Amino acid sequence: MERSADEDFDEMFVRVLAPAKRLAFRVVGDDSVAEELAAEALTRAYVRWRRLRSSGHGDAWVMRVTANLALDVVRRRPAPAPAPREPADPADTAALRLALVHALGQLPAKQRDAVVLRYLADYREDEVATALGVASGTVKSHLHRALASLRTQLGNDPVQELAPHV
Amino acid sequence: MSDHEHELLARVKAEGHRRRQRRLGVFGAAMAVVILAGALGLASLPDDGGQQVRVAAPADQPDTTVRDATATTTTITEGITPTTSFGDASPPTTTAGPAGPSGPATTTPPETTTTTARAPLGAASVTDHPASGLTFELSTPKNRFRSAEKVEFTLVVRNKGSKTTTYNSSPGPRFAFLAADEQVWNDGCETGYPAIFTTAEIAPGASVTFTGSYPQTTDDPDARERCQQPAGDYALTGLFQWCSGPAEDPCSEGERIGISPIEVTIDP
Repeated sequence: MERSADEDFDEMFVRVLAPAKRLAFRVVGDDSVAEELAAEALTRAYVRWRRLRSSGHGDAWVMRVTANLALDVVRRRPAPAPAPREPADPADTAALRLALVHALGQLPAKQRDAVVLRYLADYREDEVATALGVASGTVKSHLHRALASLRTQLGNDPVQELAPHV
Repeated sequence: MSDHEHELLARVKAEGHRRRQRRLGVFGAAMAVVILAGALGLASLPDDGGQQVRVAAPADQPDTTVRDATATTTTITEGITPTTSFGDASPPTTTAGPAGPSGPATTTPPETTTTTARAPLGAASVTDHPASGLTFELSTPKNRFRSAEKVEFTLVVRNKGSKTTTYNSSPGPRFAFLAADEQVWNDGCETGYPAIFTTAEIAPGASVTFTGSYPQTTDDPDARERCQQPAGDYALTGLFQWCSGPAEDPCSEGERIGISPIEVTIDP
């Protein structure tokens, strides 16, 4: 029997909620805010679920929206965030987060989406390519240019924290 | 799924359902505006031959030529969010959750547009919005196009007031093609991604130029046919978000300013 749209949404919700919260936490550094942001992104997905469902990119869409909402929150509320769960991780410091948010905001939209999905949402390059509807080579190109821009603005260390294997 | 996740899912669906209903209501209201515009003569005005660009002059604004004055050029194919559509948030609404389209919960006042000039028969219109000090000059190089010919349009936003004006620059203005009884195309037809919310400013005397084009492609299979609609008489219009709130949250106050439509015909 064919699954209903509602059942598909429930399944997507279960699949995406945790990674979306993790992504948001990496940006805002606060568990409860991260959950609210993930819920907001999922609410927006529910509103347009018929289209997202048929597009096959619902998960990536939710991750992008979550990331943008989180970046927005940090950009608009520059006060230091609550202590991160892993205080040893310098990528979670408020100052670096703000600098990163600012630098991401300077990137062209497609480069920014590629960075968010690859390094904040931990998608593989081929998954990023599928989500963005471009070839893997294009993703590599976006990432290369984006990281170069970020290095120019932030220096090597923050970029190394963001993309340790590059 | 844990109890907490069940609860969250129920909340997401309830809020999503509420927003769907609201969008349907807003769409109906937008169509009513179009139908009213048609009744006022928009659909029956004579063709100008497709070459002449006419600019209607508001009573207090003799200089109506669409000039260059490009402080910034933004192509709307970048950063357009597919989550919004023409007419979104027309009624006073409060966005639930910590971040609405523009961030934390905000109250959006109703749209109020003061239009001092309409030039629907030509390929340009001027909208004057005294509260913000902004004027909007929407134009196309001609108003009649061949099938499959790209309709390129330009919106010049000028600050004729004495104060610097802030606006939502991401995604910037939203444009829509409206037929007599349906919305044919809007920014949602584009393969766009939700953009990071950013504001920008227009100093007194300065202007910003936005450009866009139609038709656009889409990654939404349901919308492909609609978004590629090739022929018909359309009203091209747009919304521009003026932000007048405090510096730390400028778009918490302001208006979504409706831009006077221009008439565009695409031949079969």
